[in-house]
Amino acid sequence: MSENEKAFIQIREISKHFGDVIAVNKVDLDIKKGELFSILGASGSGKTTLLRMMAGLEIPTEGKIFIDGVDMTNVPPYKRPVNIMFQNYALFPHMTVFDNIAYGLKKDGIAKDVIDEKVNKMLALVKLSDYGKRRPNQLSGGQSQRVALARSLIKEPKVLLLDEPLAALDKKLRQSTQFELIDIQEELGVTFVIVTHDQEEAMTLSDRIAVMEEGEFVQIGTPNSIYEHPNSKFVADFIGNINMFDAKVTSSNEQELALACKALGGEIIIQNPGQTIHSTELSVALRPEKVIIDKQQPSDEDHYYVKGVVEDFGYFGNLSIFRVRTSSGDIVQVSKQNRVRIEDTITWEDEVYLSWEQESLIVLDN
Amino acid sequence: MNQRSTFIFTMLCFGFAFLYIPIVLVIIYSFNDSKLVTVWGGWSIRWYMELFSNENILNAALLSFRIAAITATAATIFGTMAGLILARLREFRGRMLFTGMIASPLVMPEVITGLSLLLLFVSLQNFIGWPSQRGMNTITIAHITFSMAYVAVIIQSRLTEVNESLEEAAMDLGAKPARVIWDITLPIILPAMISGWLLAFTLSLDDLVISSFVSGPGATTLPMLIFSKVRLGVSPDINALATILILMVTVGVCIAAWIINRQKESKAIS
Amino acid sequence: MSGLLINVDNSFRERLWKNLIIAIPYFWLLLFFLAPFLIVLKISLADPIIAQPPFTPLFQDNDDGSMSIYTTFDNYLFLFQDSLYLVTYLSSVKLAFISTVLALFIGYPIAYGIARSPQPTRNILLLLVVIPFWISFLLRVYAWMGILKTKGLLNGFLLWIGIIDQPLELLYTDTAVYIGMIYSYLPFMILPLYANLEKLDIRLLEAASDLGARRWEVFKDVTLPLSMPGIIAGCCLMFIPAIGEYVIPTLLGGADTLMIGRVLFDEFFLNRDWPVASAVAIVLVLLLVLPIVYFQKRQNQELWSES
Repeated sequence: MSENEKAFIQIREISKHFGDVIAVNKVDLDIKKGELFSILGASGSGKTTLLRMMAGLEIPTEGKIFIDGVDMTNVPPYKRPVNIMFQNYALFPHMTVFDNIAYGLKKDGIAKDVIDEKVNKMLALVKLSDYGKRRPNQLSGGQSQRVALARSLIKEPKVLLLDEPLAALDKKLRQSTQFELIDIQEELGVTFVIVTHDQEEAMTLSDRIAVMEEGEFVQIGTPNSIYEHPNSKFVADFIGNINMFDAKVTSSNEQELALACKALGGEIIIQNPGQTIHSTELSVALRPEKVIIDKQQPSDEDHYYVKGVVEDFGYFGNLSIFRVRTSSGDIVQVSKQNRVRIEDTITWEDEVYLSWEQESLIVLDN
Repeated sequence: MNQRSTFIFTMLCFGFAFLYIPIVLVIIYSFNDSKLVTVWGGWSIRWYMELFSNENILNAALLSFRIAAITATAATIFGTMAGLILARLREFRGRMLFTGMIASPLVMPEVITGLSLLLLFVSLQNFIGWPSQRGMNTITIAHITFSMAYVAVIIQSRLTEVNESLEEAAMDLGAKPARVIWDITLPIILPAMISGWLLAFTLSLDDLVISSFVSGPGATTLPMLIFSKVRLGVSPDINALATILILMVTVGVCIAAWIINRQKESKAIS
Repeated sequence: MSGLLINVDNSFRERLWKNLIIAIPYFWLLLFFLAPFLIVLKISLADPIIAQPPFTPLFQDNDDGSMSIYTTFDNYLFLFQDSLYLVTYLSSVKLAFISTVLALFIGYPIAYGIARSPQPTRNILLLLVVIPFWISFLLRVYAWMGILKTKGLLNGFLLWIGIIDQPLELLYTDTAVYIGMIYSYLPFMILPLYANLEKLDIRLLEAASDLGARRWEVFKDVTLPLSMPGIIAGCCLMFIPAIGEYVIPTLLGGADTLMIGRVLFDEFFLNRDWPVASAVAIVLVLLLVLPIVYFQKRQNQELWSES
């Protein structure tokens, strides 16, 4: 991020210790205004703790949090211009939907007719206009989620924090709700910070993603850059499926990197590696959908290829996934779009050729 | 019906017969006209008439109910505070001691609680001149002390079921902690507070041993009076008194069960 | 962790009410629970004297104007020298233990039966267990007096059907105490057992019989081990208060029914020997520490394994 475009949320060297456990370890983060930012990590990676520190529900052990230029580190949650949507929605069971949404405004001492107007508008926004008098236990999962969203947006927070916003919904509903969330975010222009363990959710929702592991960020970037240019074995493995092979550096200079990789058929040349390589032992990674599988030997000279035997395969309707044992004895996973209805299908024990473009290879430092 | 269900069924019958025959007999014999408790002399309500004209019993009952009402209210307030601390404050100086002091009255034999409180009151009287007289005040203090522990446990176990994020959500929406307790926590644990109140009320109303220790001249609670009478043997007007108390409890428990059941059903429908 | 009672906010008002919530119950318990107990401990180390209060003070004024601390272990030595107390402690443990075991054998099938009943019946049966729980302890013990008397209802019934031709001595015996104990504490035994058995997953039993276990083997291999926490909870809830019981041995027991609660009461009110009564109390607490600590540990383990 350039210096003149000042970040809306600035997190500086923030840590949180619970006794001996370090949940968040000296994390720095900048989030722009109006951004849809995701923090992605497995459970126990410290992502929820980080979110709770932004909300003021945890006090950082060290470090600072600035929101819109103001130091928020020790401001209690009820004085922050930030609202959070909890994972289990935390709807007050003894209040109606209307009172749940109105609660934040009531605490600000806003006049009753203003509250009524705002709440009704919000109910319309989340398409629940007729549900104001219901109790939370009379709502479906999707409805509860929308009430929780409405409740956390009613005070027009500068930042909305969402803790696993879609985790409690079933798969079909999750997809439609994802797009609703994006629409609402675009309409209101609020900065969203989402915490999730679901990489698909993070990919579709976010402008940028931070991958978190053991209390630290491993990589921050757009969904595309994180998927296509993972900076570590951990990220490559965590996001999507990937094949990973050991390789040795045979020669290296600015323009060219030569590797010996048994699994991929011997010598590999990477043009413009774009990174400085320190070790001689490396990993080469290749996404399954970047591999072309065919019974015919590829004629294109630019393509690298290896020969192998189909050991296992799974049919998923839209695509098929193959596990191929190459002549070197390694297993390569390949996914293939089923573009044509009737095809000369590849099946068990078939001899196949696997090929890929040189640009598809990802070099990862060990 | 197979072998095992027969066994269980028999045990259930015997078990409930065992639990209820003594109670039913007390009720039946409270309507016995004979002065000899175990000889049936025909139906009568004379013991009830005698009961209501016995000023000692009425005074003792009045005293017991007053103590129970004050005890239940104070124990619910203190016990709710203590339950809040136990469930929501994981670390503070002296927490170990506090948990110990809440848990101990539950397992402490009544004779020891009674003895120790009496010795405290005697010592206080010697040093600061208060309490100048033992009676209703000392009994109430003693009852509050042990029944608040029961309330605290009820409140604590209810609060551990209540997700803390409800309270966090309220704080996040702009409510200060004191407000959150009032707006969110207390309404949600209200049913637990009511059960706590009822339990404290019954515990206080039933207590004999602790009251006997800390009471003074002139303050005789209902259990103390009953005890002094039945020590000498079975007495027909106590049968009548027992019947009244048993019916009160039964009606109370049934109403409570009905309310809880209705709540459960309304939740199940939605 | 932040939360309701954690000082996120350092404003004076916020700090004040939070501290009040902690301070009020804390000081109440310090004053009316911990302090009394320390006084008992103190008095148990004093000599009895004929005075008001009837024991020697802890701090004594010496002739030269200085103060010295006076303590004595005589009361404790007395407890161990006079075999009455030792016998009483042992007899309390014996009475409490046997009643607990008997109540377990009676309570387990009942709890099991309730837990396996279909829904509307189950609630009614549970209610029937809960009602005696709320009825005055004293009155429930009293109810047995009329039944167990020599000319009482049980003897009358047995004579009438001809099983016996002489009335049995029942009231004011240890038998009466056992009956009274089991009767009074049975709900304490049944409720935790029920709470445990109700949670038992039927599919586990089905899995066991599917794998070839016979009915009693299913019970022995699956139900019984899984209900162990309920058994322990029920037994502790009954055994611990039963040891210090006063009302039951006094109303139903004979002159030779020795129970520690009763001895303590008499020592205090009849003999007015406060130091010995205090020493009896302290030893009783020490006697209870073991089962209580065991119970607490089990409860904590339960919590851990559940979470």
